[in-house]
Amino acid sequence: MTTTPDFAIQAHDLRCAYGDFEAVRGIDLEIRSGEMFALLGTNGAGKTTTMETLEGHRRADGGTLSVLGHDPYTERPRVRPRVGIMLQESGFAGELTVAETVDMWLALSSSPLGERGRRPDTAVEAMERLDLADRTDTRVVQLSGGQKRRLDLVLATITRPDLVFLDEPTTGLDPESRRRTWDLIETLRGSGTTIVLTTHYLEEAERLADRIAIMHAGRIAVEGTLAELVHDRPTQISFRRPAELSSADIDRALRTVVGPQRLETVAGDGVVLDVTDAQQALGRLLGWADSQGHRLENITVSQASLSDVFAQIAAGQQKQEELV
Amino acid sequence: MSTARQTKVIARTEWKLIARNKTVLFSATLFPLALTALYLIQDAEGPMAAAGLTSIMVAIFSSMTVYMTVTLTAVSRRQDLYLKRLRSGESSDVAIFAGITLPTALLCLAQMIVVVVVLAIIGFEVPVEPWWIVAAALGSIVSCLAMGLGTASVTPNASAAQMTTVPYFLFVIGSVFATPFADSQLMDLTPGGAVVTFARLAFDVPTPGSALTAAAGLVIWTAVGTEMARRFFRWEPRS
Repeated sequence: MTTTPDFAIQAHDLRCAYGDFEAVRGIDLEIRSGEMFALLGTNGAGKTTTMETLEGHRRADGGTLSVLGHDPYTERPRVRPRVGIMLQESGFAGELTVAETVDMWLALSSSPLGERGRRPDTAVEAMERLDLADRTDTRVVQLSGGQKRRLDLVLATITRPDLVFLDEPTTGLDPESRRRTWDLIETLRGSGTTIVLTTHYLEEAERLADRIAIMHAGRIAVEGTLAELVHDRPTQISFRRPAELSSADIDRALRTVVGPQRLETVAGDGVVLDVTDAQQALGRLLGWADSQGHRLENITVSQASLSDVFAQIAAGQQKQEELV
Repeated sequence: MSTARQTKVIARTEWKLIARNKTVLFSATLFPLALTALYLIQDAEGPMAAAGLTSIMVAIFSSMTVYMTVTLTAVSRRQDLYLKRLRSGESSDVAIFAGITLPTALLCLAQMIVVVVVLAIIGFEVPVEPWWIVAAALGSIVSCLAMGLGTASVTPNASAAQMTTVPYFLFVIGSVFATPFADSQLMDLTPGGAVVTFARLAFDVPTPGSALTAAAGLVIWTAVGTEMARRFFRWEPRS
């Protein structure tokens, strides 16, 4: 299977197994050139296995896979020169300095940027942006966990690859380092690099990714842009229950006024209402409150977020586990 | 990028790491000195004694400097995820294996050369056919490299390496000492026996073995180690 120029990665019915356990159960993926694609998943969903397969670290047990037009496992020498990989866990020779580590990585690269005796601007710039410029003579073993993550990102990106895999790039970083990392990733995307990202921080995916897939139980549960993922999800209207109304009163009233939508009472006097048409529901709700002389305190309207989508998928997993 | 260039870069880095490890440097220096001292204090003379001491030198250097170090290096680099890091780049598997083992092999050769030069200076017995010593040294180093990687394949962590390296190490040393008593060509198929036969050929000492069976012995152990590594080697620790 070869990719069309529009796609950096194409997978069809991709399967990976550990003995009898099938960790990835037939997924289809199409990642366009130049886009940032976030692969999210519940614990044990199979995203690390998927990433490792896309990176060429392991062979797919079924289906077809093409990365930059080649099989990433059997044609590793053709794929790797165009790919940068930031591993989930950093692995370095601790006794080397930061500069020696960067220089070694460049020397192992076929990129013209790795010419001997010259550290390319991309490396210098990335180290400056990720606050490692004053650590060049520090041995890697002496770096903090966050600094090692940043060094990892430098190595993955210094040769300006066409495709970059970022496996939880900001795990363990403080907010400032995370912001710097996001800036660098956005610059990469701006330069046309295709980026595949996994993260446990949903706001990271919301902020950075063009498209998002959420894996669950070895399959892709949902996939699309953020807008597409939350499109069919209800908007939440919440307010404090007027003291003169009981829970039963408000339940009855809202079913009549707003319609048969999900209604839940939280924290005693809090009311949360899931609606599909927020404008219509809010208009009716406020009209009803005005006409009945009720005052709705702390009223808020929140659009569905990635977190809601994720929670719904995770809840499905929990139900399945309970059934088992 | 060629495998040779990748190997050179990785080996240069590995050499740097060895040079920064004071314990390794200390033992690497002490070893040849201690062995030279052993030559000096022994009172046996003649080709038979020279062949015996040469066999011991080759076996000890290759099993300790190469076999044990390669096993420990491969296991600890895997544990540190350094191997996975290298494998996430452009380097081929062959370049990674060769790169992390080559400096150790060269260190071992250097140690042997130091001993040989010192012995030549002090007028020790000169081998009649010295190339057999070269064959013994290279064959033993290569088989120990392969067995080191093979042992690393079945060694889960650095602490376990202290135990998993014992059997083959004892096998190499034990077979060196046992061969003179066994008086059988079959001993050529052991790593130590093969070295003894080559050393005897070098000093023109009668031997039940032959260069062919000794070479076959070292090839067999090289193949065993290579096959173990091919089948069982993992690039990252078991989760």
